[in-house]
Amino acid sequence: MTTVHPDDGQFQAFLDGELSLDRANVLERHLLRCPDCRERVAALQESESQVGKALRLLDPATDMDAARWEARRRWAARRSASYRKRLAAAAVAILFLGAGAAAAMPGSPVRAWLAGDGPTPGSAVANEERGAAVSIELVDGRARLELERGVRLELRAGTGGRMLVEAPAGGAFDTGSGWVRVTGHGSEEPVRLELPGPPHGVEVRVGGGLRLEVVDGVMYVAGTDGVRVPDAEWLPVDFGESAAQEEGESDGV
Amino acid sequence: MNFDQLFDDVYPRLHRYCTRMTADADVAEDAAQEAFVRLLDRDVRGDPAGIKAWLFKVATHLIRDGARVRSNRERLLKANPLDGVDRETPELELARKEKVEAVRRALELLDERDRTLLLLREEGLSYRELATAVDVNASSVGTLLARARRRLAGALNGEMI
Repeated sequence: MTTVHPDDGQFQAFLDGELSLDRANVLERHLLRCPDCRERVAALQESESQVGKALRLLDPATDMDAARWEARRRWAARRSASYRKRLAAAAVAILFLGAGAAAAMPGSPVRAWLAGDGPTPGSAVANEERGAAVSIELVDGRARLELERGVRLELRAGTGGRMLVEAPAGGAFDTGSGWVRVTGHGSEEPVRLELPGPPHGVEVRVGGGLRLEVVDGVMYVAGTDGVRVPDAEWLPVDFGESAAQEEGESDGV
Repeated sequence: MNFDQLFDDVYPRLHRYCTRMTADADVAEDAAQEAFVRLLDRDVRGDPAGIKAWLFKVATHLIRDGARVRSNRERLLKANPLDGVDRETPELELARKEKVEAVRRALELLDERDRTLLLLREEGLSYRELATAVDVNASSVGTLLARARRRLAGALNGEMI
């Protein structure tokens, strides 16, 4: 009687657990009575072991925090760049339309300026930015985040030199050099702030009054002791009664 | 599964896969991170296993499309290996460098499809995911893997004798 021996591909799939139960049982029964195939399977296992051992020589050390930061930073930068392009195009179109309309109005300063006998009109820069995240450079080692009252905030320490702000859908970003303002945020979800690595400082202002400061990874809210911001878990920020009081006082000024 | 959980779960394996594929720490890190950036950018959703396979597929394409990979690999074969050997004695370091270079040369002997298949399997992708990644029939993956491993083992034996 002629015995049909499974090929190496079948045995490889068997070793990798990729065969159906029925097919795996067939191969198992065959291996019990076929020493030649047992040798082939042993050779496959030996190859697998040797290859795995060799490949591990190439393995890199992975800095997870730095890699995560870099991926988020690149994403935020890309979104920001893409949005800026669209905004710039929209701003140019609006300026042209506005200028055209103004020039058509008798007695308008634009019309006078075009005629060469009036003052130069001021320029308006649209800088509102909507999106899920924005990343900014620090200015003199510091950055500032402004939030509306009632917005929940979560913090954690990063490792890069930039500040990353994430807001759920519905939030709008208004950015400038060294600062970000989050507005129009109606969700219960918190705004998340990933801090730049030490020794940079970050200041958070709420409603224009209350101030929170993070220096060298330690957070200070007015009237409280410092709390170290973790680098892995998100730390919810509780502004507390004394801070709320200060906010009220500040608003009254 | 949120982004951070997915990152913690998949990034180390994706980074290792890219490093083994490219033999270039910078290119590998760039490809692995870019895959995650595209995940965020395109808001890819689905089950974690599907997203994991998608990330490996994107990284594979990024590596394949990177024109500088081959020249970098050749340059690196002649230069220093990856980081992480500085604390060893010069003799051990030299021996390690030689082994690393031997493994890279052996990998170079495989064609691109076999190398991709083998390295993706080392990171735990299923036969179905492998078949999709390298565009072959799932039923032939076992045969291709067995052959790729045998060739690589043979090349390693030739290199490391």
